[in-house]
Amino acid sequence: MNLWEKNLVILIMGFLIQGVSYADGLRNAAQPVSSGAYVKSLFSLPLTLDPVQMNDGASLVVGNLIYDGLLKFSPTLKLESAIAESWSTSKDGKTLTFKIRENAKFHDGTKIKAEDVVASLMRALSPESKVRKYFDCILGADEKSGVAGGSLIGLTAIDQHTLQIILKYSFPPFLSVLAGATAKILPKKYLSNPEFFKNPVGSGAFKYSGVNVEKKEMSVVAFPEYYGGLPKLSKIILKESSEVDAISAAASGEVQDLANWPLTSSNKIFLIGKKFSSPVASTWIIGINTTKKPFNDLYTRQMFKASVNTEGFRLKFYPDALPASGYIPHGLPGSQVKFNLGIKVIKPPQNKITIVIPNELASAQEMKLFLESDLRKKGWNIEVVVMPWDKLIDGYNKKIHQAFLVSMNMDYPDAEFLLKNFESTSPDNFSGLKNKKLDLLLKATRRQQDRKKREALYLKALKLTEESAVTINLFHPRANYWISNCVEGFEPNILSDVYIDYSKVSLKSDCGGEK
Amino acid sequence: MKINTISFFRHVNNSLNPYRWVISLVVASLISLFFAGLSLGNRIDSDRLMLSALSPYLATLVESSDRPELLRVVQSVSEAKKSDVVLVQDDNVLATNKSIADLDMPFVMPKINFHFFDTDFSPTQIISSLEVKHSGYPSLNASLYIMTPLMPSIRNTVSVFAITFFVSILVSMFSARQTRKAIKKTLKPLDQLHSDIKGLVTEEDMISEPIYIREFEEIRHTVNQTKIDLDNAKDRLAEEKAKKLSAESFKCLIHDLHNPVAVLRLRARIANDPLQDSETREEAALSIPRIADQILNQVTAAKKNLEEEAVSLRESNIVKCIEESIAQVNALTLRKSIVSTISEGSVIVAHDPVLLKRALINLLENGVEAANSVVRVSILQSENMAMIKVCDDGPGMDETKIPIYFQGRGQSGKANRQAFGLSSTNHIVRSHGGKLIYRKSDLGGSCFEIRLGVI
Repeated sequence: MNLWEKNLVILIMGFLIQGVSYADGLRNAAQPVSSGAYVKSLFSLPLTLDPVQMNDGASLVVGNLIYDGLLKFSPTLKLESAIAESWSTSKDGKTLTFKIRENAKFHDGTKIKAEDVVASLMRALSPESKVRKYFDCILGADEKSGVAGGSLIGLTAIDQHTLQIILKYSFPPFLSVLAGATAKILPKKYLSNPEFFKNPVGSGAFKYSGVNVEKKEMSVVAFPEYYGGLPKLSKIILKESSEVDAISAAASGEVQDLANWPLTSSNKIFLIGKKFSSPVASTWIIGINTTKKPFNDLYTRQMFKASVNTEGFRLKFYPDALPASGYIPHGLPGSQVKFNLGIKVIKPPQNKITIVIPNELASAQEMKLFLESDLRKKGWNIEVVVMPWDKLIDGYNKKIHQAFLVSMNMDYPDAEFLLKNFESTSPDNFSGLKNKKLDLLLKATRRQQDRKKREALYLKALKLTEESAVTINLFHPRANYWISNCVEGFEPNILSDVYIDYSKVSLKSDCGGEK
Repeated sequence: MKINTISFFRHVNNSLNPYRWVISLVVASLISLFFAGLSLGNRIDSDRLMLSALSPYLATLVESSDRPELLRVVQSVSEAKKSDVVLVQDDNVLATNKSIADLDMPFVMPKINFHFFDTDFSPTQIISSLEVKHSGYPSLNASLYIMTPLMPSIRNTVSVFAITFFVSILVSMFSARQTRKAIKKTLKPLDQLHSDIKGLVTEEDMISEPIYIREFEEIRHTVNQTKIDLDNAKDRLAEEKAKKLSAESFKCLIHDLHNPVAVLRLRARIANDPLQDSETREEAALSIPRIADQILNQVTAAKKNLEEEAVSLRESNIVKCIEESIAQVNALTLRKSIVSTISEGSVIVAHDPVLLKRALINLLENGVEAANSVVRVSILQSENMAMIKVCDDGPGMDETKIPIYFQGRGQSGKANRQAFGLSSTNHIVRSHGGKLIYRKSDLGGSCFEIRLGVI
């Protein structure tokens, strides 16, 4: 489930304010009022600061600021060293050895050691972890009860600065898992403290400073002993607001960063700031719950999938986006799967079908009308319910929705990440699909080191999911990030805004930045 | 008309100069163009080779739609080639090293100015492209573009041109310098030949080095042989002339003897002529021994002169002969000075230096003997005659006796020391085809003139 919450970016994309006078007003209002702090607008404050509990985008954004992992993704998804200054892989691909930077420190000034990394990764495998499915390939991880005992045979601190990870099987995407937003390194000595995450000691470029619940603000400050050098921003304020308020604050110069709000390229706010356009590893889908009638019937699902006018939806609401070629976002292995269900005659059942969509979407009502109108014309007894985000997520967790509109983002650029959702045993299997063939394929995929063979297995698995009709792939979005003209060094990341490296971002000196 | 001359080396050098510079410039330009073209071609070719090498791997990644890996490859290629690299599929950018904002956006091909070597040239870039596909497999509708900035390539090409041109010119200059040396070395045998020929003309003793060039050695041999032949001809000519002069001497002797012998016969006839009075006959009888003595003296002197070695005439500077004669006599004279009024220069006369010097020494010694204080030697040269004058400030000679002394009939002695050797001197001068003349000196004493024909 964490996939959903973590990757559900609620995009109120329909913020279309007409009129030239408003645009002129924006131009006049674009005077920075920053007092030296960099203000980034978020759709919500983080729900948790514990990396292994992070499900929502806001938590992941903050987590990436205050914690570092062994590795990280470059803007173009290249694996780069972070806390690990170097790494090597054994010939069989099962043993990974990492050399920890000697100058890497936690925010309390203590050096980061291999035992801290071991402890952090063991937390990811603990029963309460929401991300353990990404780490359960480590040798010794008990898939049912979490970590067997107090230690893990697959995690060894060779010395203070050398860590060895042994996998049960060769799993090439594991390095990408370690660069992901949840594989963060924490100080071992504090982990037993249940209050630790109220005021966490991190390992990233920015140090947690505090939260102001009334102002709905969380702040982080530059960590002067950061191994990557002193960050250029001395302070970042993460401010919760709606999309409308965020854009208004950006127009008045109070906010420098709307990267958490991928906007349409025609948004007027771009008249007064910088626009960074970038593809993101994301697919908007209508998820289908196979445990709910009439979607427990494969043919019904296939007919429903064939009935939705996905291209019409994209062109009406997100013309910037790419047509969905499949479940996997464009430009990633597996995205080339095109499966024709071969449905020629559609005879919808009389069962009522409810699709829930987030209320926070600016065009939610228009979407409701579009979907209802289109599907009813085709004979479906359809109702689209516009629902608040928290309620939608709650229903998703409880698997009570028949169908729901969500965005599927990826934590690491491998089809495995999204395909895991369809394993019979996965707690995040939102579709409730149980397909033994698919399970076997996914298991075989994980053990396959050969790129082409693994890809072939993915293609088979993806064809099965397409055939199972558990997702209606709407489109692959394209992000348009708004950044103030005061900002320099901002570089979007193809994976998502979570991975933007803010240690390189700075404010111009005449906008309150460091001289 | 004066003719300006230059050395043969300068002539050859000047003749080669225009060709040398033109050829140097043309060759340097051609070589530079070749290397500059090679440099640019290599750059373009390396782009194309890289495209070809990458194509199969990229095709695999494109088939897999593996953009992360494509981005890594494209970034690496871009860093290695210092170029922009764009992978396009279905007219949209699939991967690029530039902005990720370009990804999935339509690819805009830069404006192409011209196409050359299968490569496109825009105003700012050199664009190499290749379709990305597996050989023999269907098209993926994907192409890879390597866009190399034009200016660095142009700068590089121009630099290669300039450096190659500079080096070529340096090599040409060095080659020209070596050519000059070679020309000089080549002309050295000619100089040597010239020196040798010049030495032959001036008759300077020179050590002749071998030239080692057949043609030059033949020329030198020919010149040498010609000189030897000329010397031999001269010698033969001198011998002929000496014979002629010797015959003339005999004629003179016979002529000179004719009168005394006639006188002697007359006196003998008078002395035996009963018709003559006794006094006349006695006087005639008494004169007979005296005249006979004179004839005997003359014959003796003539015999002595004729016994001298034959004259050997050589055309050379007579001034040198005069100076040596003065120096020799001066060495033996303390009280009286010999004044020479001979100016510097040369008077070329055919003469025998040894004999002429002997004649001059006779005149100088006689002059010194007779002079009160000074003997003056001078030489005058006219168109066809050289005249050596030896004058003194002594008492002078009885002019009526001069022929007797010249003919050798006179009796030398203390009374008339000046007559000493005059017969020999006269004979030598005559042997040269010249004439010995006596005059009263403007200094008050005797003055002898030797007149010789000049060249």
